[in-house]
Order: sequence, then structure tokens, then C-alpha cells
Amino acid sequence: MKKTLILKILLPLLLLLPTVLLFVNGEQESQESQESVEPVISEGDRYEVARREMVLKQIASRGIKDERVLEVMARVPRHLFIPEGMRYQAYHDNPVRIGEGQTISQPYIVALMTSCLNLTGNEKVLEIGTGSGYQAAILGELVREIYTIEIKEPLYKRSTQTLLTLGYSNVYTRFADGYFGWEEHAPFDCIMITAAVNHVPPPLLDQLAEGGRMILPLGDPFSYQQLVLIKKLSDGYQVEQITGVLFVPMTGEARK
Amino acid sequence: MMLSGSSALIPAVFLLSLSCLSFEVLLTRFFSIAQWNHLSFLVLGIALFGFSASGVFLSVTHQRNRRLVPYIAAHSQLLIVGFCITALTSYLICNALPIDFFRIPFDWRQLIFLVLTFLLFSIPFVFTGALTSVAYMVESRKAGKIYFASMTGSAFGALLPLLLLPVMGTGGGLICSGMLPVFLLFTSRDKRFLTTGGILILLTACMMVSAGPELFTVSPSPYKSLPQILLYPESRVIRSSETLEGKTDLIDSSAIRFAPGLSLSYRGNLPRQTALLLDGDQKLVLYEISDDSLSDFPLYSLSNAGYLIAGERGDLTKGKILLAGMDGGSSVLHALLTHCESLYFAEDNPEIRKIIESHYQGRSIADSGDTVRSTAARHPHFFDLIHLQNWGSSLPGMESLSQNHHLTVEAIQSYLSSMTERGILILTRRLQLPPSDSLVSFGTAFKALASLGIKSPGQHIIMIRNWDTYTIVLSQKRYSVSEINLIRDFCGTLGFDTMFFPGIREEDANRINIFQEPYHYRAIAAYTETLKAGDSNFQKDYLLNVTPREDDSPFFTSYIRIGRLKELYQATGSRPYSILLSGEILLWILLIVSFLLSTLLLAVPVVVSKIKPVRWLQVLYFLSLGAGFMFVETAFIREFTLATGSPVRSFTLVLFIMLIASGFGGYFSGKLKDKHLLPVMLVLTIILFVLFLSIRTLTGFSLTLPPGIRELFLGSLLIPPAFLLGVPFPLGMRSFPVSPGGRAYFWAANGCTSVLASVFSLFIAMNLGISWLLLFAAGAYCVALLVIRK
Repeated sequence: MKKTLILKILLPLLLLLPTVLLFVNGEQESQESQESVEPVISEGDRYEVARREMVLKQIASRGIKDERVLEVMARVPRHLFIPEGMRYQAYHDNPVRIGEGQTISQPYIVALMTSCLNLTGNEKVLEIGTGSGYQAAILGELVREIYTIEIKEPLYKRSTQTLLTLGYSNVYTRFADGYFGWEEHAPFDCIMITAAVNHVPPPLLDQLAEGGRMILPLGDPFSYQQLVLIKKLSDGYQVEQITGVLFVPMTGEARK
Repeated sequence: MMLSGSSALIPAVFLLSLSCLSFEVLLTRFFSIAQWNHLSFLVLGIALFGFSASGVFLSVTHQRNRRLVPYIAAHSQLLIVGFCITALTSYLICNALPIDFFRIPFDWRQLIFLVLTFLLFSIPFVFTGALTSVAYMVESRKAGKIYFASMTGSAFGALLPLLLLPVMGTGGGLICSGMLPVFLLFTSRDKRFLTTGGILILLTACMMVSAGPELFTVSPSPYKSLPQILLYPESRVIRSSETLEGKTDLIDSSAIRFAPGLSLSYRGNLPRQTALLLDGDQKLVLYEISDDSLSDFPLYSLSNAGYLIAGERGDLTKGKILLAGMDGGSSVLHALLTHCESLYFAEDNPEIRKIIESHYQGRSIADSGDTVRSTAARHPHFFDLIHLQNWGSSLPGMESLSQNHHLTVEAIQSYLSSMTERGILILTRRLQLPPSDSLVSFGTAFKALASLGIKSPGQHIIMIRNWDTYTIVLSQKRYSVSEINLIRDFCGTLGFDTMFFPGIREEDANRINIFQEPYHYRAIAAYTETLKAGDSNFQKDYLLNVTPREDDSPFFTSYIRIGRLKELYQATGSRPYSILLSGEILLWILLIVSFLLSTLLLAVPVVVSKIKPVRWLQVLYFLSLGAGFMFVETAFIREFTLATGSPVRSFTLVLFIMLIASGFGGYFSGKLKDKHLLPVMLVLTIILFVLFLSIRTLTGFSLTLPPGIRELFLGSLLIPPAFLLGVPFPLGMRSFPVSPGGRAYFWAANGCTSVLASVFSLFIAMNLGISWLLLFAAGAYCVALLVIRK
């Protein structure tokens, strides 16, 4: 009787444990492998195909027309900015976790934010929130100089290493509180805030050149987002909402 | 006293029920901290699934092996050992799982983790359910006593977390609740159980010593504010405490800066801030106030519009201000800047009240000593300005299943009535696109003003916004032209946009913070037309649910219309994950899964084992009882959330009183004869129907009572129906002539409909209203009544 009970109740429990440990272990391995940055693209062809598909199906099809942005996004190896264990998701149409509770933005959001700045190639840009370094790399391909600040040390170290390894010599990284900007290099033609904010830091507004543009995303990585573009005019500011969503506000009777 | 055999059954049922309910309550805390509040709703499903599974298991095995149940009854300690081991291991495993529900749509492992969490946590409930079921199977004549032991044990279990949480937190509480029944092993005459008990205690103690405090710490989601802020340099937790109301952490960091709605024109520095987090998510910040001067940044925020009008209407230095609900926290600085005569704050969470009081000690700010709604209800025509800060969760959709009684038609009526005629009500929240939150606020305010007898509510509303925040300013007194011009100038100077004011035109909107189209203005304009006309065309046609919220259905952020999911998916960029994890979708998934599991569980004994344990009408009787009881329980918990100011306080109050009263009802049933069942059910059904008609008035009245008296009044409402609710189940178990296997099947059936009813009750509350749950309960007992008559 007792043996039957043990077989029926305790055995399944014992069998369940290794399964759980297996999953947990797999997840931990993914976390641990975040430290290493691969210098060469070992599966280049596969990633290149995925990258082209990403540009075609996720970005161009959603209305991003800026050829320079599309070309750069098809070239920069996004997967190298993502921890090894998560690289299989590098070109998926979603944000990817990069550790420290942070994500690398969905490719479409990166493209949308970049194209909204209407970059000509001669700008000095400040980025607040380096994160993985991917956005800085994209900007680094499109502008003269990019200064990027990260407040979380592990992310700062990892992204700096990645950008160095990939040879981005016009991207300057700094471990500091981005709220105060980077006064020594101000004014900036463009400022991009990639972290959530509840107000625009006054020091950043001061460091924006007259006629300059500041872009920031509203919303959370796993929710719908919209973009805000702030233009510094001679007599104040204009804030333009560039919706990152296909918003249909009203239909039928309510529209009348 | 040594207990063995079936004499050990009833004490075991009592203690295991106690531990199990404490474990269940603490699990809701576990999910609230580790994830978000709405996932704690899973716990009811986990518990009742475990109970039902045990009934089905015993029903099937009893048909095949008649010796099993008597054996378990004689060795009930086996189930206690099973409960202790699985309660402990399920907590340890689930707390270690790298759960990230946001990744479910694109990481299949997360789905496995979710299912695993559900199954692992349900195993301790299987053992508790099995013990109670076995007791009913072998001691059916003592059904009343078993019911009494189970219910009173559960009632004390509902209270145990009150003691455990402040001392050892959620993790420690779960371990303690899980290990508590082990002491019952020492009452056994069987030396093997004595040894097992000793080993279990020794192992747990060793583990606690070797693992240290980490064992007791529930890890919050990496997307919550706590882990995020702690990554900032030099951030540290300076105070941490836990109660049933939630886990509060006070974080000191130079990188915390909270000033939503701040104008781009502001050029000064913000004062240093300390973050107060509730369950790891942002609740409010406490500002460091210098003795020399106050930071003037609030004067550059949207909320200042209300203060300007109030200042125009009278000298605020002679006025009384109430800060209602302490989300955000900047309202304190704002109010202090007015140097008003009296400044009060009302906050529903007592722990947060204590922290605020201690932080602003020496400043002229006083605790109202009551909840937000009661403070307003008990002070008619008293305040000159009420500033309501209510930001909600940091992620949209996470609070869609939570009741928010601070922002309902009745709430706004109450705030307006608690102010003098010139009084101003200010509410600030996050601006969302598609317009949703702002529309609900507008519609709710409009309806509240209309219900106060104001003929043109639009003349009493001003709404302004910046790029991500909006403020609504309400007054019982019609706005004058000069007041409107004051706000227009204020917006022009500080770079804000008007959304609504009496006489607004399209060219007044969308000028500085420019959307592609004036979405917010147009939506509000269309909404105003429909509200003026008294129809609901706009609400029916709009993509999201923006109907005015009332106390009977106070789900402020529940915007999703299931029938229009496809449109919403397209309107939000065709990205599924934001919608998939909102509360409404989770609820549907839970309902479908619960239905499938319940059907499967009830079908197993009949289809697979090809057995016919009972008559179907008798099964229907227990199905109805399960649903009816759960409808009553959820109705009172939800209804009393308004009066107690907290779902947790309401949960504890209702559960304790209901379970004790039902337990006595069960005990009393032992003295009743079979023929008494019919009149008892009839009286119960009538009481439930009367409560359905009167509960809203009674709860509203309770808000005007002082704390303490209010809880006594609410408790007295509960006792009569709860006592009668305890009679039908044990009387049915005792009266129906069925085999022990049949009784196990009844137990399972009761559990299954309880699961379904708990999930379904939220649909009823969200779509019809909380009070309707009592009508559904009366309906369920009517069905049971008809079954008896047959």
C-alpha cells in the first residue's frame, strides 16, 4: 500500500525536479554567456539573410522610407549586441532582453526613431541610455559623432566593449547619470533619450543646440510606444508626437 | 495527547486547512511581488484546482481499490508530510524560476514556466483537499464537524499572514505556513511519523541557516521599479517592511527624479527624492525639503492650473487642502507652496501613511486617519481644494482587473460634495494614445457633475495636457471667462495644450504638443456631444471601453473590448505582446483553461474509469453550491473593498467572518434533519436577493461611519448569509445516500464550480456590476433548491 502511494505521488514529483533544473540551468547559461562578445560573425550568412528579411518585412513594409537608415540597419550586425543565449531572437520582430532588466528595442522602433531625426551625416548626437550599444552603432554609421551615456555599469562596460570590437571610432561612451547630459561636448544637434522619462531633464534641453531635435519614446518596451520629437526654437519649444503606432482613433458614428 | 487513526482526522483537517489558507493568501503576495497584482488572481484557480484534483483522484482510486481510503484515513499523517514537502519545494522552485511572462509570446520556455508554476503550487492543495475529502468519505455522519473544522481552520489561516508577514516576509511566511502542520506528526503514536517530523524540521532549519535571507526574499520582476532603481549607482534600500497590504521599500538614490507634467520651461533643479515602492513598483517619492525655501517646480506643472483657479477664488492661505491618495507624491510640495491654513492627506495603505507622516514630520501636514473615500464622505463642505494623484501601474494593462474606487462617478461626487462651493478638484494622470484614460476621466467627471444636479457639466470641466500627462480640473461652481483666460495664458506660457474648457474650439487644441491630428480634443468633443444628448453612441462605437466608471464596476483601466481585439491589434502597431498580457486577456485565458480542466477532471471518473458514482441531480446540487458560495464570497470581497479601502483588508475581513460563520453553520447542520434543508435554502436565497437590492446603499452608508465601527457594521451584514451558507454542503454530504467514492466526487464537483465561479465572477463584476454577483449566487442556490425538491 505504502509503495503504491510512493509510486503514485512522490515519484512524479522527483521526476519533475530534474526537468525544472534543466530549464533553470538553460536560462542561467543564457545569462552567463552575456559577458562574452563574439568578435567575428561565425554564422554570417544566416544572420545576413535574417537581417535583410528584418529590413524588408519589419521596417520597410511599415513605412520607413529613409534609404540610409534601411541600408545601415541591413548592415549592422544586431545579433552581436545581444547576449549569446538570446541571439536566436536578434532579428525577430520584438524587443530582446539584454540583462539588467533592459531590452534592445524592436528593430522597427530603432529604425523609426533614427529616421525621425532626419539625419544628414554631419550631426553631433547625444544618446541617453546606451543599453546594448546597438542604437549608438546605427547612429555612428549615420552621423559625425555620437556621445552616449549609460547609468548601469554592467551595460556600460559590455556595450563599450562591443562598440570597440566592432570598430566604432566616432562613438564615445560614458558611465554616468544621463540626466545631466555631457556638458563638455554640448551643444548637440540631436539628442536621443532611449530610457523611460517622466519629464524632460532641464540640463538636456540646455545642451540642445538652437534648431536641434530631441527624440524620446513613450511607453514601455513590451507595450505600444509612440515617439515624441522636441524642436528647440528661438522662442521656445515645439513638441511633435510622431506616433509609432498605426492609430485609428474613431470609426463610424463617433467620427461624425 | 496522542492521536491516531480516524480520531486524528478532524484536528488534521483543522490544521491543514489553516496552513493551506495561509499559504494561499501568501501566494497572492508572492505573485504581487514577483509579477503584478493581476497574476495573483491565478491563486484561486491554483487552490481550487488542487482541491478538485484530489476529489477526482480519490473517487477514481476508491472504485479500484477499496482499501486505499481507509488506509489514508488511518494514516492521515502521510498527507501532512506530502503537504509540508510540496509546499516548501514548490515555493523554492517557483521563486528560482526565471519567470518573465512578458516573453511568453516569443519564448516558449516561459509558457512552460507558467504551467509549471500553476501545477507545482497546486500540489500542496491536492494534499489538503485529499485529507478533507477522505474525512467526508469515511466519517460522513460527522460531516458537520468536518465542515466546521475545515472552515474555522481556514478562517484562522486567513489571519495568520497578518502575523507572519511583518516578521518574516512573504517567503518566510510561505515556508512557515507550509511547515506548520508538521507538528501534528508529533501527536502520532507511530514512531515513523515522529522521525519524519524531526527530519523535516531539521532539514528546513539547516536550509534556512545555510541559504540565509535570500531564501525569504521573493524576487521581483526585472521590469519593476525596484530592481531598476537598485541598478543606479549608490542606490540603497533604507527601509523595508511587509504587511498584508504590500511590501514597501524606501530607496535612497541621487538618480531618482520624479516630476511628471513638468513644463519644458522649468530651468531649476529638482529637490533630492526618496522613492517609496509598493510591491517593487513605483508608488510615490518623498521630497527632501530644505528649511530655507521650497522648490518651486510644482508651479511649472500641469496641476498648478487648479491651484491658480483656487487662488483666484479665494485666499488659499486661509484654505483647507486635502491630498487624496498619495500616488506620485509631488502634490505634497505643491500644497505646501500655498502655505494653506490646514493641509491633510488621506491614504488607504496604513504603512504608507506612517512613512509619509514620519518623513514630513514638522511640516504642517496631517493624516486624515481614514481612507480616501471615507475622508471625503465624512467631511461635507469642508475642503477648498482636493488634489488627487493617481498614476496606476508602471505598465498599461497590469491593473485592468483591479478595482479603483478613487475614480468613479460616486467618488467624484463625494469629493465635490466635501468641498466648499468654490472648491477645486485636481486629478493628474498619464496621457495615453489611443485616447483612453483621459476619456474615462472625462466621462466619469461629466456624469458625476450631472448627477449632482448640474445642468451643464461641461461648464465645470477644464482639461489640459503636455506630451505624456493630463490634468482635469473640476468645480461645482461654473468657470468664469476670466478663469478660463487665466488657464489659457498659463498653458501658453508653460507650453501646455488645452484639451477641454467651456467654449473650446479645434484651433485652441493641439498647438504646442502636436499630435498628427487633435485626437484628444476630437474624442472628447464627440464624447461631450453624446453625454449631452444622454445617449451612448460614442461609447458603443469607440475602439476601447471608455464608459464612465461607477462603484459597482470600478475597473478604471479596463479598456479592452474583446470583440474589437483585431482593430486594437492593428491600431497599436500590430504588435501582440502589449495586448496579450493585459488583465482582460489573461482572464479569458484563465476562464478557458479552468473550464477545460474542470470538465476534464469531472469527466475522468465517468469516461476513463467507466464508473457511475452518483446521480447527476445530486452532482448538480454540489455544483450549484460551489458556484453559489464563491459568488457570495467574491461579491462581499469586492463590495467591501470600497468600504475598507483595500482589497486585501476586505479579503481578510470577509474570509475570516464568512468561514467562521459558515463553519458554525456547518456545525449547526449536525443538529438539523434532512427535511430542514429546504427551508434553510429558501431563507438563504431570499436573504441573498434582498442583499442584491440593498448592498450598494449599505456599503455607501458604511463610508460615513468611523473606522472600526465601519468594519463591525460590514461584518454584521455578512454573518446571517454566511451562517446559512454553511448548512447545505454538510447536510447534503450527510443526507445523500451515496458511496464514499461518490462523496469524493461531490467534493471535486464543488471545487470545480468554485474555480469557474471565481473566474466568472470577475466577468460579471466587470460587465454587469459587483452587486449582480449576489443575484447570481441567489440563482445558484435556487437551482440547488429545485434539485432538493426533485
